[in-house]
Amino acid sequence: MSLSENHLLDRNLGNSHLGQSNPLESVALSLGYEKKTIIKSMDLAIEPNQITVLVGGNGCGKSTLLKSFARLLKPSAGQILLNGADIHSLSGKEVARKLAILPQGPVAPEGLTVEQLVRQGRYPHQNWLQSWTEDDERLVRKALQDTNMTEFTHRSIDALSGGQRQRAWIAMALAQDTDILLLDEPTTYLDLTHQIEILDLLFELNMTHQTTILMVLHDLNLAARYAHKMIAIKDGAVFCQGAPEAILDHDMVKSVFDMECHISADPLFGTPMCIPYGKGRKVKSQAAEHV
Amino acid sequence: MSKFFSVRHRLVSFSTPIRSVWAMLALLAVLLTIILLSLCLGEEFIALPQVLQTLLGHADQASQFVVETLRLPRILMAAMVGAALASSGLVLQSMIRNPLASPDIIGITGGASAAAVCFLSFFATAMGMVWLPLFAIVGALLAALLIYVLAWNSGVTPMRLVLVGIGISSAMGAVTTFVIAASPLSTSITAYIWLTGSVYGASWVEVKALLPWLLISWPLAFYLARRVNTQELGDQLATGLGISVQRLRLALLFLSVIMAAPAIAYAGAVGFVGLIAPHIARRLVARSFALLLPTSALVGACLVMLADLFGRLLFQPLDIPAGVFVSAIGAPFFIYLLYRQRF
Repeated sequence: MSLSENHLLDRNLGNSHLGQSNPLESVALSLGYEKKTIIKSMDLAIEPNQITVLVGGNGCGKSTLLKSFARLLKPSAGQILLNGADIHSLSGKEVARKLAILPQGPVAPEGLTVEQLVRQGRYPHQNWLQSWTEDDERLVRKALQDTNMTEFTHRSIDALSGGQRQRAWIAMALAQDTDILLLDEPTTYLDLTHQIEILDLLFELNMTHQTTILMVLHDLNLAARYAHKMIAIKDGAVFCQGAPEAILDHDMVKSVFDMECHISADPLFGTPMCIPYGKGRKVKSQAAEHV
Repeated sequence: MSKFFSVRHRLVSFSTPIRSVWAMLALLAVLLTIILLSLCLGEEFIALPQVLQTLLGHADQASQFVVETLRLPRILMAAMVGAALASSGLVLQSMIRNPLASPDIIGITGGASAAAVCFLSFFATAMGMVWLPLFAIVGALLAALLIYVLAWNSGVTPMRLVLVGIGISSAMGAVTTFVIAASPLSTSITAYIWLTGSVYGASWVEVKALLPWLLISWPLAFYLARRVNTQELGDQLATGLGISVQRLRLALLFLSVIMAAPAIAYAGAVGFVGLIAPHIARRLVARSFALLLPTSALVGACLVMLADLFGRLLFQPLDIPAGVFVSAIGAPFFIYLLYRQRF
């Protein structure tokens, strides 16, 4: 089987979703800061009710792409379609009622409590006179419950552990009550326990509420475990996309990350697992290595 | 939740922590106490019952003159100046997301001062003192405009705004010092007292001139309150929640100028209130702009009124500018707060 053909096929499959009821799409999207182009004429569709994970090396443009999907960046050419409408033709509040974004490493003002933070998520649903309705109250309680943060409601954000803090931010995004959730590296700076905790939380959210989730993750193995669909970005373009078990192989890792690796099945989940080559101690006999 | 005071009506709904409501009521009581105290105390002591009678309109002419013409406008002026500067400081600190911002640090006060000192040196004798406030306000607006334009780089970031502001502030300081140094001694002294900030000799005319500015800027600040809370989470999150961050930032800068500039124009460059009043307010009420605004204003009003009271009483018959005592009372209290926070 030719790998490049395989990738081409996947890319065409991705394109064929255009025009259907995909919640988020980019059409001939180009992004850049000043003179530097980061994303070049990209067509991409994010499918509904799925977890989609963007992977790629540092500086490949995946975070930039995520930001543009949240209307945080204006495209230099092309469009982002949110439920079929140009995202820049909608008002900020209109977008915020349909799509929530959690940027990387957010910082809360000193002394802000979990509840005060989560309440901010209701901003796009409020107006000057209706600043706090029962609906708002209910959705904030629910967001706190869904993230297991109820017991920390009145705690100051500064006093929380990294995992709890990230859960508080996710609760804020949940309070926004949107069908689409975008997250930029939600597990950065968290220890393994908390990484799993956050990803489990997002997975459950997708299962119970069918929330469409698009996120950037650095850990390929976790990405493969949680993503329905993986999109690999290289040099500002989609290198390949599809179910992790279909696309995550030696050649893909070699091309996207410029790294030699061995792909094996996760003994617990069966999803593909990338084991990088490199230096390091070997405690295994040479013979067993090539099994 | 019993911890919140909530109003839910078809038209209006909001929810406020009860503790914060109590804190504001307590501050209001302190404010009224200071007002009454300031009306009683002075070169001539007037007993409280007599003061109250005077306020109701039946008292002898002498105490009527002292209370209504000398003391009351001065007290109200001090309260308004303190409230305005504190509000302006809060707006700036919220916008820049840094507790070290205030109108005197980012150059608004500097712009007003430079303009005022230029006026005192070059135009005052020809035009008369009534034009001083206008010059100061225009100076502050021009300084703010300059800061904004120089900080612009396809949008304005808080950090650039602060750094450019500090630059403008010191440039304005140089202009001020130069003009004072180059002026005759009598002008220099007037300028120097103006720079310290004083509500000495405030009359009803000035009270009436300053009040409309507050009546415009305050509702505007309340209108922006929820947006301010949200933008404190950072540009990306605020944009993600549907706020046009750049437009809000420009509005807040303008708001802070129209709060601070008129106060500075009528009372001089009273420093420090804008910096510390919001800090004290944050210790007292929940972290929400709509609560911090009235609280900061009350704290600022109390501070300047107290400072002016001390200035009037402590070194009689000398009348020390309120600006001196704002720092004298404010600084130790501020350091005490920071010290206590460590534990």
